[in-house]
Amino acid sequence: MKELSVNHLLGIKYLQQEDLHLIFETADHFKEVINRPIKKVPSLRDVTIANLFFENSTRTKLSFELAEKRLSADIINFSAAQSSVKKGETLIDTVNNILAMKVDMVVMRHPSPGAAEFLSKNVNSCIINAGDGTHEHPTQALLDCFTLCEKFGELKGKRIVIVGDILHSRVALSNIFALNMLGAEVKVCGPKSLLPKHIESLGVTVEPDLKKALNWCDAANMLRVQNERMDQSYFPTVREYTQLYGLTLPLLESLRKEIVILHPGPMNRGVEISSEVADSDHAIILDQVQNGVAIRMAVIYLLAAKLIKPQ
Amino acid sequence: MSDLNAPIYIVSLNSNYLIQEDQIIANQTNDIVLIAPNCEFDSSFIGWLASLLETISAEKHSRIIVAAPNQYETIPSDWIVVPTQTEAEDMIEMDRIERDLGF
Repeated sequence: MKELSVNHLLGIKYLQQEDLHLIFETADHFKEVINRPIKKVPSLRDVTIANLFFENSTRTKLSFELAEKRLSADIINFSAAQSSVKKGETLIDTVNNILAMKVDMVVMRHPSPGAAEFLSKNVNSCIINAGDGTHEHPTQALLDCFTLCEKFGELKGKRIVIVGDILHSRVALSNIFALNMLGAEVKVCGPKSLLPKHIESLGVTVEPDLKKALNWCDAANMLRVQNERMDQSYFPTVREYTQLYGLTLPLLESLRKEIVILHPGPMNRGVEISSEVADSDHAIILDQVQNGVAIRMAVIYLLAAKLIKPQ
Repeated sequence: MSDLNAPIYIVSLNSNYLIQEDQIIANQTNDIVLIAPNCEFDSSFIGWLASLLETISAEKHSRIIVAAPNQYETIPSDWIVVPTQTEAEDMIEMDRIERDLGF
């Protein structure tokens, strides 16, 4: 059986192209499972997974939880609001206390970049990064690329533009790594204040004009404006942002060709994307949500296989 | 958004299942678990259950049947059948998460 080259999923940058293809193949199998009346397999019956969410998240947490349930894993849910973290307990102490309950795998979201990697070096358990600050969100990038692969067949030579708040977006960074690895051409588009300096060093180009970027691409990934990450004003008003970088149906229909629209959710309808676009046939946002479960099942299953394998 | 903690209507079907029908229909706005490991899945019971499931079928609601594994052969394959009530509640929880995620 083929296996992943890594023991943890900390970020896309640690993976190889073969890992991505293996995850996609496995997710394909699980998509077939979740279209059956009984959408559950006994694969991880003896595996216990802790979901540690130190940062608010509804959709990602539910998607992981559903994936774990579909694999028949035992689940421990933990959120920082109910924990000793508020009383000053360190991350390692918290996780070690949870691991004392014989947890095999930890899915963690944390506001600090690098938290998942730090944990992987300090605790004896398999770690899956469900988002670490502005660093990486690997399962989101995997599900985005998987959804695009379903649409296009392969990503080699395809042109993808990522639009919006690139500076605060872990989704953007993980997507750039994954898309580059799969041979796509990547452009980023957004206000200069929301683009990291030296972004070109990641192998992408910058296009400040949204219409030009959309005319260039085969697919556009519209990122959410992340108000909660903004400690200072990065653009004058939301209205101005929407006028310059919001995707509307008239803009989409004015393009030279049809393009595919992605959004990692949750959407600010009427800000970065209009409701008409989000609900149109151009959008594959619902496919992303469904594929999210299959991709997370694949990642958990492949990492658990390494865990269970006799040494 | 669906309520992940909404009540589940759980009913144990017995030999008087015809009498239980009205009560089940009255609870069709809930997710329903029909517990039937002691029922004989003969043609009359399967016919009644098929008609009931059609009556109470509703988008965004789960209908799960609990039956003994030795009855599975005779049960239509498109019905969602599990061996225990715990498993049925787990299926409903998964359905609710799916609906919460929007699919």
